[in-house]
Amino acid sequence: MPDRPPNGTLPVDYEADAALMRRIASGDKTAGRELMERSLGQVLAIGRRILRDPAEAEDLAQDTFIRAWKAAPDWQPGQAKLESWMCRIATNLCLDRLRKKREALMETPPELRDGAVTADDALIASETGLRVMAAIAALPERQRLALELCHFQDYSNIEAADKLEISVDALESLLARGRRKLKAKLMPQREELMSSLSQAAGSTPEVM
Amino acid sequence: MDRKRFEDLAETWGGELSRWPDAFRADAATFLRADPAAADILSDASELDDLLETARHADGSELLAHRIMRSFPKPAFDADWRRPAMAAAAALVIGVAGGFAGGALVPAPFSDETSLEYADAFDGLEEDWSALDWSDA
Repeated sequence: MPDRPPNGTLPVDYEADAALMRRIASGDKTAGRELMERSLGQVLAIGRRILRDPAEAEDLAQDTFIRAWKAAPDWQPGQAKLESWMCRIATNLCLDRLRKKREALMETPPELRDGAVTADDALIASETGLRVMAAIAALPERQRLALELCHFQDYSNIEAADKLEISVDALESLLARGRRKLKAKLMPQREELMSSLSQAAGSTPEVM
Repeated sequence: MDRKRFEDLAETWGGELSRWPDAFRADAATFLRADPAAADILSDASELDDLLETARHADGSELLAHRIMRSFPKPAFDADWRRPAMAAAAALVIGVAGGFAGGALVPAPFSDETSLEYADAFDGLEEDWSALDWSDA
C-alpha cells in the first residue's frame, strides 16, 4: 500500500518516527505518551466505526497501544508511516474481535439499529462527525468493513478483498453499495452538516 | 472507458483518482482529460469523501489516555543487554586498576639480597633415593 499522506499533513519523517520508536523500546514513557497522543484519535475512531461500541473501542485502543509499544524494538523505519502502522494494528485487532464474536455466536452479530452509536457522543470530534459515524454504523457489517479498509485505511482493492476473504468483485460491490447508502442518507443533509462543521471549527475543540 | 464506467468507479472509490485501483487509474485519467463532465462526476463523489473525513478521528478522554498509559510496559532490568554488560566491564576495569594502584603503594616484602638468601638456602641438598624399593613401581 503506498503511503498517501492525508490532506494537509506534513511529509512523512521516517527518521523522527524511528527515533520515537527507539525511545519507546528503551522504556521511555514520555515517548510512549507521544505516540499515543499522535494516534489515539485515529485508533479510537477505527474502533468506533468497526466495533460500534464505545467501550469496546476504548479497550481496542488500549490493546493497540500495548501491541505497538511491545513491537517498538522491531520497528522498521521507512516501511510505513507510523500512524498507518498503528491504524493497521487497530484494524487487525478489530477484525480479530469481530471474528471471535462471530465464532462465539456462531452467527453474524445482529446489526445495530440506525444511529446506534450514541453513547459517549461528546467524545466524537464534532456533531457532524457523530452523524456521519452513526450513518456508517448503520451499514451492514461487510459494507462497513469494505468502507473502512478502502476509504479510511487506504487498502488496495486486492489487499482489502484478501483481508475480508472475498473476491475483488465482491469487495467492490460491497463498497459501492455502502457508499450509495451513505450518499442517500448524508447528501440531503450535506449543507447542514458542513455548516455545523464550520461552526465547530470556529469554537475551541475539546483537547485530548 | 465510458462515462457510465467512470461514474460507477467514482461512486465506488470516491472523487480522488489517486485512491482508485491502479488498474483503472490511467484510463480514468485519459477519460478525465477527454470528457468535460468527468470533473463534475469526481467533484460530486468528493462531497461524500469530505463528509466521511469528519468521522476519521474521535477524541479520547483524559481518563482513557491515563488508562492506556498505565499499560506502558515497565522496562525489564535485562531488557538491554548492554546495561549489565557495561556494568560488569566497568567493575572489571576498576578492579584491575585498583589492584595495580594498590600494588604500587605496598612496599616489596623482601629485598633482592633476602631473595637470594632464600634461593640459596636449599643448595647442596640432594635426595638419597637409593634406599627405596622400586619393585612395585
